[in-house]
Amino acid sequence: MLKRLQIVGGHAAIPLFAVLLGLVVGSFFVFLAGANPIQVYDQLFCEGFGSRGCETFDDLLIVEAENDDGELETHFAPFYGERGHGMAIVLEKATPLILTALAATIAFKAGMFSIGMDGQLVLGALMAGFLGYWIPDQIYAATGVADFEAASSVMRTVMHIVVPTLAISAAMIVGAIYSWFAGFLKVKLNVNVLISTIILNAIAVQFVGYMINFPLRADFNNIARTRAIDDSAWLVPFTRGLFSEIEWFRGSRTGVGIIIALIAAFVIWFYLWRSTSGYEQRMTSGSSLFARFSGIATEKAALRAMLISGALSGLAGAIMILGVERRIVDGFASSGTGFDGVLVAILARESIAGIVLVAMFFAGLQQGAINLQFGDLPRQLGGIIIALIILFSAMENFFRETMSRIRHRIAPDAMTQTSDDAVPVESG
Amino acid sequence: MLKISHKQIVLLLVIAMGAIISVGMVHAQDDGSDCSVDVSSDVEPQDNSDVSFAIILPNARGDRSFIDSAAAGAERAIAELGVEGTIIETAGVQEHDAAVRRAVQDEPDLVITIAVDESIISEIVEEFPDQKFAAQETFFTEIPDVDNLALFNILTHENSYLAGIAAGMLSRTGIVGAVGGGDFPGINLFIQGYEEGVLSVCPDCTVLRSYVGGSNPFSDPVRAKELALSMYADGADILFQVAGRSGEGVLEAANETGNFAIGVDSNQDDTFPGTVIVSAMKRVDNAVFSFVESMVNDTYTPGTTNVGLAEGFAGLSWDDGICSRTFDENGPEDLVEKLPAVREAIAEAREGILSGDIVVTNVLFEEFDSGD
Repeated sequence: MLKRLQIVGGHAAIPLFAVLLGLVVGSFFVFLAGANPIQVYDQLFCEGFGSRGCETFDDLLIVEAENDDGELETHFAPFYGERGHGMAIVLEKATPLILTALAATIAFKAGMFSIGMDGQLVLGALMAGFLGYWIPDQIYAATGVADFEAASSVMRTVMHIVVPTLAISAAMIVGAIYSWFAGFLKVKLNVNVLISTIILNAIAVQFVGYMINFPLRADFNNIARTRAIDDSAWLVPFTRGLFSEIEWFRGSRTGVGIIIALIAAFVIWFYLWRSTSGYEQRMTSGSSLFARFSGIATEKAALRAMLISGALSGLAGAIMILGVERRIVDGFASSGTGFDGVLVAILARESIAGIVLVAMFFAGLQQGAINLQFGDLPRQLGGIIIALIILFSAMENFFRETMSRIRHRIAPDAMTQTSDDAVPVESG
Repeated sequence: MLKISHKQIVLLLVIAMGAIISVGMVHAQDDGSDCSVDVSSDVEPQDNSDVSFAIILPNARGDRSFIDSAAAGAERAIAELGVEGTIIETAGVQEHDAAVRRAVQDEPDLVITIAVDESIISEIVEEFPDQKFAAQETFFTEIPDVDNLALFNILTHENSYLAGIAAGMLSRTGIVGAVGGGDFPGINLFIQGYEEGVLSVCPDCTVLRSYVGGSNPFSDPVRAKELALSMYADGADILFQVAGRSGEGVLEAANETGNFAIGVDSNQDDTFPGTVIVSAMKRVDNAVFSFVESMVNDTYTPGTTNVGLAEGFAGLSWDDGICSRTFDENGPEDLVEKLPAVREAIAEAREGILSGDIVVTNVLFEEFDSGD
């Protein structure tokens, strides 16, 4: 037990150290921009993860805020939801990141370095956005009901289940096929997955941009966009449905999507670490030749991984459209959510629990960076700090080696101990 | 001892350089040209620190056009009216919704949005009925029936008509053109007016059109420059740019090929002296300022306001005093000689428009709800 704790601690220490180092180096640039690093970091984290009244790091835990009578009240910050909580927006933004990071992890764990999440996501989004109004149209035409308002309550309930399910399934299938294509090129023609997915991403983004601008364009608004999805296809956010009374969610469009993402995370964990197929694909990734000689159908395992990966990306796109955006606006395709997912997967070192945490951390930092402007600080500073944190996180091996070298110098006897630690631990 | 190799030193230096450049870009935002409206010092700064507003810009600042103009208006309001203001830049459509919602969280007296999509606005104004909103450059097919939204449309077909007269009279080749951000009514409002202006003085002239489009129509100067270069190659000698920051590419192409251009939104005559003939001004800064002023004077009224040439929200850079004669000083002689005649024709047309004798097509309200 103690040993296990030590290992987990060792795993967490290096990312934390990287974050800290990123902040320290980042403060150099904050100085250059003529701002105070402490103030910038307080603002960055409060805007990202804090509640109302959050001004410094301490306020992330205990916050003091004025109530309606102008008196100061002390609250436990994570549960203090007056006027909305930063974490509610983090949940909204983290949902697609979790799903695309899972998609990336599945592919990586089959030895396929696929970064095609972006293309699969936008294609899935397009499919869901289109079916989100097309299927209800067909239903209304067939039943002669004018629109969602006019439908009977039974019909509404049925449609609320059927339409999103169909749209999401279609999006997942589209993503899976697109991802399978890259896998097929690798397995049959030995085309480098990294290159093929980059190209496939570009094609998908351009194609979706074309579809939004021309065939599916709804009106002549300044920004090209598709028609809004029907209310029956809408995955209603918590603020408007289930938890409309809970102030904590105010201002965020978090909905059932985050629950789907967490379930997906659990399923993927089970698949990778507890199922035979998952074992096969991990073997394929570890040593393809060895796996094949052991009787594992490596090609099949790799293609299966690519299918699952694509389906997850498509799901992410569908949730973004059906739950948050409700229509595809030009610019959505090129916003690069899929790439952020790859980044999250790499930073989380392919651990499932790590993905959930890192995705939330990443989403909060991004939101905090944008909102730096609410404290009259330039938003570009946030971008620099995030980039530095990522950079230092990616230098994991460098830190690990340096640390063990230092440890050797301090206590040469502990050599056997450290080499033990350096073995990557395969755990969720 | 940590041993650092040469490679690692080089890597660190490269990282540091990259970061310094990025910070440099942070600083480089505020390179306002001399022609920008300066905050006049003779106005007594008022103290209205109990009035607050937040303004959401649709993209980053630095286009020397539309967005900078809006930001300038907000800055002028903060300086002259002494109100509390927060200026929020976004990096494109995908951030608009979150930025507006975050602004609402602070509960300022007024949230001003610039060119934020209709669907976002109509959803948010309903969700927060107690928050006052003012939207500039958002066109509705159906204006939501709420009492917390003030819409402000600056109609630019008439001043574009005047700019078209300048282009039509000064063109040497008889071919002029326009480069728009995208093919939609908000932009075609300019281009249609411009085209009619050109044809009114030069019926045999050809007016070419092209649109930047793509995923970032208003901040893609490279693409706009390519379009402009090919239009100049086709014989056009004056191009009207209606594309925000993308338009910088058009001006640059004009400068490189020795041709001419017409600026938009802000006064761009000084960006390339002798190349930019005149700018079709759209006073977004005044619109923003008047929004804030309405909060200070307690005259905020929900509903739609349409303004244009008559109200002084649209015009030409030549109407301005100080730096409105850049082309006279730097332009080629044969064109400068014609300028007095051009100005006379423009003054005549302006009178005609204001009196109603000349009617310029307004393509915007063929598609959208005018609020009348």
